[in-house]
Amino acid sequence: MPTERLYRVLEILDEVLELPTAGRGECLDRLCGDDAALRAEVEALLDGDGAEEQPQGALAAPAFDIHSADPEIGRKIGPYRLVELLDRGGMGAVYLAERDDIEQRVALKLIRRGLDTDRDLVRRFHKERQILARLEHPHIARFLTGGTTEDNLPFFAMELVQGQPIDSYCKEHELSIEQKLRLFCKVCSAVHFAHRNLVIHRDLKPSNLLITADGEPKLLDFGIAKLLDEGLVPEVVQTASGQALMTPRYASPEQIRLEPLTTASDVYSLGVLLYELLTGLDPYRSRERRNDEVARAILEEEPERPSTAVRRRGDRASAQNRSLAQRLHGDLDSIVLQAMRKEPDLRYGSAEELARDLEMHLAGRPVRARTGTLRYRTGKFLRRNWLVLIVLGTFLGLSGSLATVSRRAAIETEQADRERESADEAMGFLVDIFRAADSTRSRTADPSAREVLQAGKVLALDLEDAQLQIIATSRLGEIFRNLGQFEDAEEMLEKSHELAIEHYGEEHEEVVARKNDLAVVTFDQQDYPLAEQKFRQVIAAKERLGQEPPGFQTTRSNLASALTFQGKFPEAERLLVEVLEERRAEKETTDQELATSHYNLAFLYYTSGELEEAAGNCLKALEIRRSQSKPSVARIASALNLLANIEAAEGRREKARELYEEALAIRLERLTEDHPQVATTRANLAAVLLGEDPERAEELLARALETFDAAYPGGWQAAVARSILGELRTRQGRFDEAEGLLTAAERRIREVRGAGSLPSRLARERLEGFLRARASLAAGIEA
Amino acid sequence: MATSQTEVTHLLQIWSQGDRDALDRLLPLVLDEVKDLARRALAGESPQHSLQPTALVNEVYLRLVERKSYWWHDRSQFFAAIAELMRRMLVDRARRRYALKRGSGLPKLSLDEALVVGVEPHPDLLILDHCLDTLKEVDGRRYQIVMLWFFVGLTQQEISKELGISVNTVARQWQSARRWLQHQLDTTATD
Repeated sequence: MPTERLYRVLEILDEVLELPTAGRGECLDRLCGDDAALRAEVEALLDGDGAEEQPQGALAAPAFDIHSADPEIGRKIGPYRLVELLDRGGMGAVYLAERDDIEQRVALKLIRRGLDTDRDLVRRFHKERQILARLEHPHIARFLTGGTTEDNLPFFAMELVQGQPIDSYCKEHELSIEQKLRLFCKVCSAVHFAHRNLVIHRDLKPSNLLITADGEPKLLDFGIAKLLDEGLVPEVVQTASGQALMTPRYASPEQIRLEPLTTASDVYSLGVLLYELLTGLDPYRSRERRNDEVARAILEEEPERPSTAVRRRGDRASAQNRSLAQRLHGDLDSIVLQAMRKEPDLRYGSAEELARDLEMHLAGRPVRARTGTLRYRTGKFLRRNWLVLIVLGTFLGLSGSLATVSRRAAIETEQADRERESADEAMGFLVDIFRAADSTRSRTADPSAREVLQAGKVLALDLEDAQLQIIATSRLGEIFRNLGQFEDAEEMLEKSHELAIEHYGEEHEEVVARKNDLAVVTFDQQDYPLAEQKFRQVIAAKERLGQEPPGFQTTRSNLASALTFQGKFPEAERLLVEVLEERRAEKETTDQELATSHYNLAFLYYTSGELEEAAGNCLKALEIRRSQSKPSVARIASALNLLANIEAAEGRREKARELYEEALAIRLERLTEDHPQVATTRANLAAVLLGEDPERAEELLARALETFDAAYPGGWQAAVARSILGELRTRQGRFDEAEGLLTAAERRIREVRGAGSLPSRLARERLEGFLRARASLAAGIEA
Repeated sequence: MATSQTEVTHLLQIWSQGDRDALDRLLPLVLDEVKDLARRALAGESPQHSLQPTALVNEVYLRLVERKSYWWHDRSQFFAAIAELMRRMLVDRARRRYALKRGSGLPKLSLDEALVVGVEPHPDLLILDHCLDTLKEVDGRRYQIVMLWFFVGLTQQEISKELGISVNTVARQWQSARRWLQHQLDTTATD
């Protein structure tokens, strides 16, 4: 029958069958018209039609009916009766079963019909029974009894767990992060318990982790679990084509590679599970990929940090997502990733350790994974960059020969100074290496230079030798300080201070040296009153140790600087002059020390506005520094910058400009582009270029501001740069902008540096200059 | 990994390579899985949710239907896939049984031969298979209705939901189709 013809026949049949038998003839007349053949075909199909025709043969029932009853239902097995099919696993089916004699409902697992001839399977079934029987734990479905059916099939009964898979439970009950973590810790305890009983689960996934109505997790399905005491023969399960047939989503790399498994494999799966519970995302995008792609990703890809995944893959606009990402960032990122390390040895040693770290996190205490992550990532990085390792090692005093040198660094001597200087230099070197490594790094996960330094923190704290540790933390503090990372610097120096107290006792030179370092960081952070107080404490401590003032010239100079920055000029001047005179009188005074004294005085006089005195001292400092056998270009640049400031304040712009250019060239050569000292000179140079080269001034200021805002948010340096920018805007006639910049800058500088300081006065002058300019312009317009 | 899955994959492979005997061992394993999956799907659970059976049926399905895409886009597609899968498996089994009955070694079967013998319900399935090809060509939707009823066992209610048409339409079109199919079976068997 041609296609159209059959279509028509069926259509007619549709209509005719709707009608009672009596009305059908008329309908056929209408629909078939003159086409007798068509009518015959339709009538053939209506033939023998009763009201309810029963189909026969093949059409009597579906060939395959998903609704058809399971023939096992109602069957009696041991004391139980099968009531309902609960689940069908790889080798058997699990039924809800009841006892007739007593009220008990159990989950009864039966080997699957048709598979009972598979001896391997029967063996496995027995093994699962054996495994379960040894695992009695509140969070593991309990084994009740086992036996064989009448037809000699093995079965066993377990505690009936009625619950919801952990993932959908968390979602539906909208558990908070804390609640999820607490729940997850219980899961860990169950897995750990199994491990302690020499059982690896090997198939941890949400559908095997049910949460009961009272919120308790139960671990199920040890169907492919493995007994560790069976020996370490890998149980390789492969398809004929050699491809593992398993949804790899929660599989560990070693599972994918079909290697022998240890408990670390379960730790890995727990990691993936935790990742998914916390983020709602799967780490390897398993749902979007084919299984072989997922398997490759598990072997090769570093998973995204959970917080990053939430930020990148979630709805960016959602505030909830942002706060989730924030919540995950740090501890939880590290914990999850440590559990998911590709190398089994680098994961948590046990599920219990994983849980412990989560508990530490919940208690707000430091977690192990943080250090682990850094070490892990650093390790990866360092394996590729051995040079960095050497430099870093040098820094941390890891090599024995350096230890003694480093110790001297703690004491205030010329060597200490030189040490710092060389540290500074090496730092530049280190930073360069990191930069280079950074630019070539792959998109995924190489740590940046800063991260490597963060790792340095860990390494330092890991050192066995207490003295070395004190030195290493102190050195790192210094490095962070040089990088302008004052919080890290403070952390390290505080640690160093703490360790020194522990090691030497409170009243000890080394301890006091750390106190001085801490005061210096406070100074760096521009809290000058606090720095002053701390320096005074250092001095008091030194006096208690029986030192005479000439023994702590550096600290006195530092105190003077803290005073200078607060506009407390007389006391600062007295201290600095004393130190200078002492140094002049001492034979062993180095050029470096002498130069520093002059420099500090020059800075004081510049700040207080005594420019002639300032110039004299600055030239003296510069002269000494230049005449040294191994001149410190960094210090020369500082002197040049200060001298230029003085020249500029005297109104000698051209001279100032030359000096700034020289200082800037040196600093750019030695320091990184975004170093605060570079920014300082840029801003200063801009100030003298406003008239003749406003375009360059604008650019210099923009770059300086970028650095300052990053290094010292809200600091006076940025305020100075804005004040200069305000002057530029005044010159450009952009009064609205100028006013905002100048007013805010003037206030900020006055607050930090004191109203009497030169920077304050300069800022005020700029503001006044602007007010005058605006007034005269307004007058001009009126006139 | 459960042995049975390995087994299933292996059986599938040798079956698709022409070893019809493999099907006898394969079917009981796969039918259960498919049944579970389909039940879950009907209960509103996503087929993706229970990973093992999905992966399993995926494998099965991929090998049979040689589809590229790994996941079904929706439930209707899932059922359609199940139906196709079941049709191929059951028909293949019937073909094999029939061939055995006739004592021929290889089940190279033509419809005419089946008509001549007509002893078992199995040839019915073969006739049905042929009719379904015709029906698919004539009326795709009617074909779907038949497939979902016959090879998945969905009720008319369920079919109407899956296909997005009224229960009345399902009932009407199913009746006509069934009459036609029955007629084909009756006439070919008695001819």
